[in-house]
Amino acid sequence: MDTHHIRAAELVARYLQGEITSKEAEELISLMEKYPSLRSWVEDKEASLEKIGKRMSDYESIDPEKDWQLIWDRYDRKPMQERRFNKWWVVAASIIAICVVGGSLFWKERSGLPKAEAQLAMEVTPGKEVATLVLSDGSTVELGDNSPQTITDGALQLAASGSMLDYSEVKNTQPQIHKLQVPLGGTFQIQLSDGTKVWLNADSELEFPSTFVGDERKVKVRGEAYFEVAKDPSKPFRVEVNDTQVEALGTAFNINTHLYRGTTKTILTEGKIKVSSGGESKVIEPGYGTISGQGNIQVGKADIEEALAWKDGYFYFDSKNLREVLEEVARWYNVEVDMRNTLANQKYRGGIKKSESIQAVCAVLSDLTAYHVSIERKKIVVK
Amino acid sequence: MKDIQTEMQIKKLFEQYYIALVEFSWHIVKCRETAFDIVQDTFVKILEKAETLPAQENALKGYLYSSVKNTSLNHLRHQKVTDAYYTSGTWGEADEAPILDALIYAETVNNLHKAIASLPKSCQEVCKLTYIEGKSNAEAAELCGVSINTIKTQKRRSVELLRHRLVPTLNSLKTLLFSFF
Repeated sequence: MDTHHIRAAELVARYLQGEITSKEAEELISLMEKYPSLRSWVEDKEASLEKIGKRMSDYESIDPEKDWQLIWDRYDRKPMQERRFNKWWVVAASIIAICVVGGSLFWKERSGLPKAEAQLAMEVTPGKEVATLVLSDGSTVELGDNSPQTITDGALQLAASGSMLDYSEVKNTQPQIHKLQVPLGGTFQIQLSDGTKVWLNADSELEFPSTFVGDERKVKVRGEAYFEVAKDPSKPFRVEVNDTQVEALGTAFNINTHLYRGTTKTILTEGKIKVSSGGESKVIEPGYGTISGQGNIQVGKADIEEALAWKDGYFYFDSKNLREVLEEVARWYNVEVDMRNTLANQKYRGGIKKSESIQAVCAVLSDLTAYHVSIERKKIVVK
Repeated sequence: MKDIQTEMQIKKLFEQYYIALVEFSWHIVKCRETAFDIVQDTFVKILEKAETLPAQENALKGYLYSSVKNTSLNHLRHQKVTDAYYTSGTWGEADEAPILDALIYAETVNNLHKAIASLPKSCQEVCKLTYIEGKSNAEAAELCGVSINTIKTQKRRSVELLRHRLVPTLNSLKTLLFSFF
């Protein structure tokens, strides 16, 4: 490819747009002798424009300014990684220094090294049912120690046991705003004061009042959550997530913000919901889902299995690419992903039990994909 | 890190050629998301690179297209596509036609997109209406709240492309509606 090719393409484009000057037309004619394949583009202008018109829809809804921001953020972050890298050199240098001083000591210990490394890999365990509850005064309570606990916040008392927090007995007290935070590698379940059940996935957060007062029930979510909303037609249940609002009567649905940058995916499994973002809103039927963000809502058929699998203890992916699958696995095992090369955009479908060891999950992914997926220390490495 | 001036220059290049490069890459990788990823990766790399960019506009454009072409072909190789159509033969230097076709798509789609985007939002809508519903310029002018002459000028600029753009858009809209109701 050289500048002549580009020049030829520029001229054909100008011709098709009807903006070509007579001088440029002469230039095009001489280029057509050099490149005969240009002929068909010029001879049937109608057909050419129609072919091109078909490609225009790919760019109808793009926002170049936002895409530039993504590029910029990636570039901006890089120097920090380099700095971190430099720090590693300092650490490495000090290790070398120690080795020189205590060489014989190091020699002695070396036989034990592989074992230590194996141990490091073993330390990566599947996620557990853990969470942190943030009370109205900002104090925190760690949950998930199996032993039943009683939590007190002012006049309010509630029971926590194992993997669940129960607000359904909380009545007639001043509503307090509480936050349930689930870390990477965790899940947790909560029953709100109206009886609504919420499952929170790894790296997610739910903000809710200890009791619902007024004519609506309103909560906030970040990350991924599955809702089974208790029926109460007089008090609609509203979930705020990013710039999207989901309104439900008696319904079960899944909300996920982990999937796509800046967007929210909502899947309805039962009942009816209304999804709003910006000024727009759409009513969804069961089996359908939406992808929303920046005032835009797309509706489409959804896979209910995907919405339910995680809360029943499975990784489930239907037409997700490897990057998305790995990101979900990494969240559950609380590890990092090291992608050595650009991954193909191939889509996969399947399920893996979440209680499996990470080695087993990597083995499955290596079999399933064209890549070698392995766990090295606290990192999933893809080759 | 680059100085601000270079960064601004790269931003300008992005604005100018983003869609052209994505379209160009698409003709090689045949996947919308991958094409966007490849071009975004290319710009991150350009920002990171220490060496200065070619000063001349033509050379710059060639440099951008070449970078995207190489990354796209690398992607295909990684994908281990054994299909001979995608590998060496079609995108080798021997046959220029596929590259020329991809470049023509890239250039035209880029120009048309810019032309349409430069129309005011309301007029983009009205122009669509005039072609779908056959509304007159006068009606369009009234709907837009501008003079007939403004409509005419704007239409002249985008007449051909809008008409051709709308045929497929309209068809896909119909398909969408039928599948939902």
